[in-house]
Amino acid sequence: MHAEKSKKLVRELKTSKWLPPYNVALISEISQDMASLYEKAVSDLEDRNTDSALIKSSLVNRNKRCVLAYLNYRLTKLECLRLETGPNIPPHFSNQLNKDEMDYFKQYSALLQDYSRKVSKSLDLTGDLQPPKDVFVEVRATEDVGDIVLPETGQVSLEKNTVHLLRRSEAAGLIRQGVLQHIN
Amino acid sequence: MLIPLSQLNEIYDEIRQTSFSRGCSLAILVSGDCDALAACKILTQMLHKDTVQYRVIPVANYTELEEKLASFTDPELRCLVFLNCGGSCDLTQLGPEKNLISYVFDSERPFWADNIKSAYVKLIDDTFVEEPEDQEEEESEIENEPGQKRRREGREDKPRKRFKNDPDPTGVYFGISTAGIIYRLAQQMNRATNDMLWMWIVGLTDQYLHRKIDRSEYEQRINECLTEVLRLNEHPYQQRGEEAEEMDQDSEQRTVNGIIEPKDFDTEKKTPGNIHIEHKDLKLMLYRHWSLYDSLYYSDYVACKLGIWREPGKRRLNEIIAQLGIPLQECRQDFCFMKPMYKKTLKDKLQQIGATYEIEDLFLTTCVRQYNRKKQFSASDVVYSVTALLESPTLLGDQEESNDREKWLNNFWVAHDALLDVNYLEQGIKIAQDQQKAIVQQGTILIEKKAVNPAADFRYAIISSDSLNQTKYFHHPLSLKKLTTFIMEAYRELRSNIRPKPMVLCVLNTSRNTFLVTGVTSAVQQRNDFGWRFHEAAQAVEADFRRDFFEDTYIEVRKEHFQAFLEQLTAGAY
Repeated sequence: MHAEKSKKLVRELKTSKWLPPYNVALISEISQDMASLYEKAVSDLEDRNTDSALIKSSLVNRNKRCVLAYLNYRLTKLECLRLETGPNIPPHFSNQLNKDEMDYFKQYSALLQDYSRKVSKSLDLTGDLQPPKDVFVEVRATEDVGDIVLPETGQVSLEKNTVHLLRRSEAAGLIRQGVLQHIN
Repeated sequence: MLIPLSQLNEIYDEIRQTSFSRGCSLAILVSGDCDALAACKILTQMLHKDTVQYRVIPVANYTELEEKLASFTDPELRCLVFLNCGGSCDLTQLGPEKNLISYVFDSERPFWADNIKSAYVKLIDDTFVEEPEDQEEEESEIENEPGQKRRREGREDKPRKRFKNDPDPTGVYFGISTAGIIYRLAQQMNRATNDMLWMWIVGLTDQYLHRKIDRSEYEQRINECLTEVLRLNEHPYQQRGEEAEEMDQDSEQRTVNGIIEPKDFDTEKKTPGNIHIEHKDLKLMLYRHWSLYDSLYYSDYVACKLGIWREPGKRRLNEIIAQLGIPLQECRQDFCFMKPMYKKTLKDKLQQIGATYEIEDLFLTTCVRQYNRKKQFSASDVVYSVTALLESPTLLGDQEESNDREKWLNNFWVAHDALLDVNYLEQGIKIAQDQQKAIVQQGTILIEKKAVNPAADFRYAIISSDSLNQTKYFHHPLSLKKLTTFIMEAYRELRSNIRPKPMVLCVLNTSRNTFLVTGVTSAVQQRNDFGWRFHEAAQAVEADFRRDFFEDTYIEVRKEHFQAFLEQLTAGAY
């Protein structure tokens, strides 16, 4: 009744690896609770029972804060995702999001592109903030990919358990996909 | 053709030039031994700095190497570097067919004669000195002589083309360590670092511990290392005489006052990465990471000398410990936790007592590296650990394996990382200890059961069941070699009145339905011709066999044909 459900909602964020699936049911339950709490608070006020009304109104505020924190956390994660992986949501992540969040992601992405174009034509805002120490990185293939053609290196045959020295820019995408493992 | 050591940096420049304006033009093929891993580490570090793109491909045996070479379709590929493999197989076809140049760093000798003649194959040889033209021709003719006995194979038009040549009847022997050659390259270019130096020391120690070079050669080579250690390290000696004594007195006073303070609490000397020299390091196996008792008990040398598996042997070990004045309780706990007062006098006392028990040869010059603030590893510790990781019968790391090859590859990379990683090294040391226990136990069983049989000019033993859990270690070549050496040494001590003979050991592998056979010579500097003998015997009885190991002293024979093979071998026709 009190803030149990909101606590559960926030806990979900902590237990999942990236984000938990958007919990519509729990959020609507919480909002119903809040509505009923509010009504009770109003009726308490009419009865001149100020103490009870005060408690209920702070409960409402508490719930509200929890739900907002939940939403905010998710949005921040989405923004990070855009900066890390680019304009497309990876398929195994899209299940966790609801429609509004998808829209948010797309609009954020569009904004970012606009801004990026305004600042400079050649600058990639999503790149590493730290300048790389080395042009090349040593990577080990974790799966059999076979021959692939990279823009600068040319043809590379990535067999499982072989080590390659590749350009950082070329390897970055493959490392994110989990095909290559960075070793140092 | 043969390349002398003085031209190493020209070779390196050649490789670097080829890579300009190309993508990945270099492939490095590495065999699975500690020396090759160390060499690979040095080479890749240098290439990385020079932004030469490469790929590293581990290969377990010649069959695999052949498959890999055949599968190269990459148009960019120009150079191949072979580390501890490739010297005795046919690389001549790669040049004209695929336009590939092979650079072979292989410590196993002799090289195959055709490789020496081919302009596409460059073999780096430490004994070769470039001299005027006519001299060179003579040299190659000398190399050819043993080749005349062989059929000339490897030609396209002949039906019996084979990749791996027949073995040389004169037997195999080993040159300078590959890591040493690559280090020399770094040195010539003034780019040697402490990490690289450590790799050289590890590679050299690997050769010594696996009986590829003998004691005097080791001493000679390690002295070359020591000058480099002195050059690259600020504190090459852990303690100097007077200083040490002063500090000892200090520490005694401190312990008397009840304050426990480490003996040499000198932060400068414990700088991570520092290598220091131990002129008289104990030759006990892994003693820094074991208890003194276990280390004495399981060290090959001590175990063989005392005959540790019998009651009198055990009693003598206890006597030694009593004479050292170390309580058994202290002796059985980890060496690093033993009281400093016992550690301090240990070496001197062992030297005194050793003479009475005929174990004088307990000391060796070696180097010790401070890996991080807490951990030190000597070169031999690293070699034992890395080799154990390479040949570990169980899978390491968190990956799921599908077959033997996957497992081997996975362990290969764990071992590769272990060279400079404390956590993996410690994991390896645990395995090495288990393996050594297995060697002593298995060796003991064979000797006690009188399973060692004489033949014309060698002795042999057969492990014909692998139901025992420990037998799984011996399906790997290097571990099998260690066991064979142990039995040979133990036998020599046991029957001091008989002539030392080489030892052959055969072990059954039920999952592959084969016997793995190896032979070791009674003296290290002797050429090992068992590869040839095995080959001839197997050919004579038309057995199914596999002889694609990089070190040419092994053969794997199908179980059904094993009996005939053994009879042929022991008949002593060779």
